[in-house]
Amino acid sequence: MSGSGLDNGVTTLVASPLPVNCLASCNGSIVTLESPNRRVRGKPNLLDMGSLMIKPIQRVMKYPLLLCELRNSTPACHPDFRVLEDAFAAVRDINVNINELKRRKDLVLKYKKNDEDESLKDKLSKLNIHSISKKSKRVTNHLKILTRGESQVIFLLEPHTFSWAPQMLIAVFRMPRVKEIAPCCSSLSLSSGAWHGVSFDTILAVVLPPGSRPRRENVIRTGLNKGRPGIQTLATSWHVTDNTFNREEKLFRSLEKAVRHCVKNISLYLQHIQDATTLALQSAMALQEISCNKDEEERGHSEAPSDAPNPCGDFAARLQTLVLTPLSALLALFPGPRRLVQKRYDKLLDCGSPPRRAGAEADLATREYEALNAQLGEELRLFNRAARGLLADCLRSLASLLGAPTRAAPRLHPAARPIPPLASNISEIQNRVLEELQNLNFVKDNSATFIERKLSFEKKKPVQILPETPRQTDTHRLKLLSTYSTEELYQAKRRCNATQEYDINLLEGELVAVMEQKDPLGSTSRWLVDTGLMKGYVYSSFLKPYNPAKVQKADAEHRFCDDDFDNISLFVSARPAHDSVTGTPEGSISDSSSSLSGTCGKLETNGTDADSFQEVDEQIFYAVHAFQARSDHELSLQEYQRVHILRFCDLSGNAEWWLAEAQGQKGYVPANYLGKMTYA
Amino acid sequence: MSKSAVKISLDLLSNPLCEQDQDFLNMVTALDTAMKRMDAFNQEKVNQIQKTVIEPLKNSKNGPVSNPAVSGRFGSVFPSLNMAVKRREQALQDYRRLQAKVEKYEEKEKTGPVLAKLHQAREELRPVRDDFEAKNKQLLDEMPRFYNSRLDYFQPSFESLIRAQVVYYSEMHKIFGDLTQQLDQPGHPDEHRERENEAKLSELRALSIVADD
Repeated sequence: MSGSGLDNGVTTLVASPLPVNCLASCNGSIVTLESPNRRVRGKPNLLDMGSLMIKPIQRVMKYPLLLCELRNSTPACHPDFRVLEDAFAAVRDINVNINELKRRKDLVLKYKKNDEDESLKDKLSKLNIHSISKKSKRVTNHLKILTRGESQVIFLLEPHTFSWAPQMLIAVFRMPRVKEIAPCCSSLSLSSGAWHGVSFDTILAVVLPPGSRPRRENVIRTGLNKGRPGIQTLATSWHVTDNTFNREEKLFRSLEKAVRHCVKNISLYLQHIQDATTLALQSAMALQEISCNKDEEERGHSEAPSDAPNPCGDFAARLQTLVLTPLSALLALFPGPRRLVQKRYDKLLDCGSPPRRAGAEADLATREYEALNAQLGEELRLFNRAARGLLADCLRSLASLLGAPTRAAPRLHPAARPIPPLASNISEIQNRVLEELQNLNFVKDNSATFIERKLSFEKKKPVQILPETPRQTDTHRLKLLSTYSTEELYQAKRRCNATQEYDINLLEGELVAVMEQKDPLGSTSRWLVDTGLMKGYVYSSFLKPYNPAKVQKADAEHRFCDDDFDNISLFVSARPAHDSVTGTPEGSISDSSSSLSGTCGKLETNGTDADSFQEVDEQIFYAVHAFQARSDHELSLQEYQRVHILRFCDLSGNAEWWLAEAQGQKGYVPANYLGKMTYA
Repeated sequence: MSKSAVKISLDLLSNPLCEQDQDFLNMVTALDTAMKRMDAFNQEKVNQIQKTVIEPLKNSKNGPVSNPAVSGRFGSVFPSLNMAVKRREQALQDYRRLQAKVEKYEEKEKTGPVLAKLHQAREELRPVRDDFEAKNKQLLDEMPRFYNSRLDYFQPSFESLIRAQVVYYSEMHKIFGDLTQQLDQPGHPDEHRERENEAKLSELRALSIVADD
């Protein structure tokens, strides 16, 4: 009898799933099948597809009975007896395997049902002592495994158990301290057919030769349990590990992680691309609006992007169907096996519980575990293989899809191909245009005020005054002094601003010469004065008579304590030079600065004139602080040293440094170290 | 966008699957290289566009100016324009106000003081009117010039924008062409791929351990 061939045939038959709904649909179509059968009289048990298909299996199951009868009625000396015995054994094996397979399928079906469908109430109703104790045992065993505190003992085999169903063989792994293997044991060879693909790495169980009694020396000694024979089935606890299964499980988990990440990242990428193309389209449309009444070239460029959403939409759809949908479907398939793996682990833990009270329960747990293990092992392998293939395919599709929009782009923009060589400098061109714009009057007028307002926030107050009119300088004072007599000279008590036509501005302390003590309209409160720079009207209440001797001290004191006006009155002559040369980039001041630079030029030329006025007191300044010259261009000063100022700016126009002379030496000194000393 | 693409391949690369399967590892490394290169080019493109297109349009005063007379960029002209328009509005208001005053005096009977006031009002009106008309004319003249100059201004930027995109896309084309050659059988139509995927999925669903829902 070709027992194994039949065995395989039957296992494949049973292994092919016959889901109930398939049967149900078959039943529907059985009507046509039944009608020919009705003609066959005497077959009342042909009821539905299910009973039809189970007939071969039922026949197989009848064989052992038949063979058993035959064997029993055959005398032992008959030549066929041996053959009968073998046949009987083979057929019995087949039956056992069928049962086993069926059992496994049922187990898997039982455990893979969706736990999330149960409501809390259902879950609570399932809680009872039994389940609680089972779960707590599982947790403890799990902890034991984690801490690896338990000794691991071998489970010895009785030889006759080998021919039994495979779940009786348990192999133990992870024996860290195996010292020796008893010489009389032989390693177990496995035929994968009986084990359904579950392979064990190391069999540390001893298979005793048939007929021998287990003896002490046949026990594999471990460092942990020396001396303990462990011939009994189980000692305290043991752990079963199945390396192949673990490998498959690891692969399974990493596959799941990979697929999950892929789905997440690819959908994110798709989202970004869609956003980007929407934005690009918007900007293209905006450009089109701006350039709409211009030449065709612009419009040509802007029209091309109107096709852009279509490639993107197309790309998105293809990506979706080719990559994302399969991957998401794959992802949805993962939880089922995961639950089963978890269940298997639970069963494993159950098996680890002390089976001292061995009995039906331990055996049941062990058997269940074994069943789950075997089933899962095989199918997990298939699952992994198929999943990995699917993932690889999807990745390849992704790679080819990514190139697709870039392939489409050149087709849409043939006009863009002959790109003119880029003009050498974009900024040059644009600056040119901007310059033209700056020349537009409204820019000139209005950006000026914009800037002036900004400047007012800055603390350099003198700058605010400057764009208006140039200030009186010492030369002007000299001129006044020399031109007018003393009783005509007045000094401004405080700052006065021009309010009416022909008014002039005066700063405090400025020297004016009164030319007329009345104004055109006849009022005597406004006087026509000459500042040396210009002539204009000021209110007389602002003026007081100029008294050189008296005013000097007051002026000096006044100047020391008031920094701002110090700056203004002392260094106002320097300021115009400063601003015109450093050149604030705003073009609006160009008007005033040109006049200021004129002033500076005048100052320069007057500087040489001033040389001849060296002995005149107004050119004498004194050093408020001592100053150490750092180079030979500079002049060292001692405190309160008097110097003559030759220039109020240095060669590069910087007004912070004045050319001074003292004791026959010339050099530059910082302007803010100097205080004005007049009429010393 | 390219960052998320890089993330795809990065995550895959760090997955333990790569250790077990050499083919998979090769595939993922190729994908990863391609993504990284795409990212680099994208970054370059973005920088280029930022420099040549976005900067010149902004309202900033510290763009790269080689000419100190040119302050700010194109966008900074708009505040001046707004200011000019506002001033014209103000001038218009003043003009109207004074005009109304003149008309009011004109309607009154022509007595001495009224005549004097009328004369004075007319005197006041004249400079204001001139001012308004000057502003108006100036704006009418210059605004179209400004508007027309926008294209000249933008032309080089636009060119550089297109250039950057063309460069980027041709690079991408090359990169992904290489990738496809390396990884995939090119020329597989979509339906073929879909069928293969479906076949694998149904094979998976046939396993008993997989939940059928």
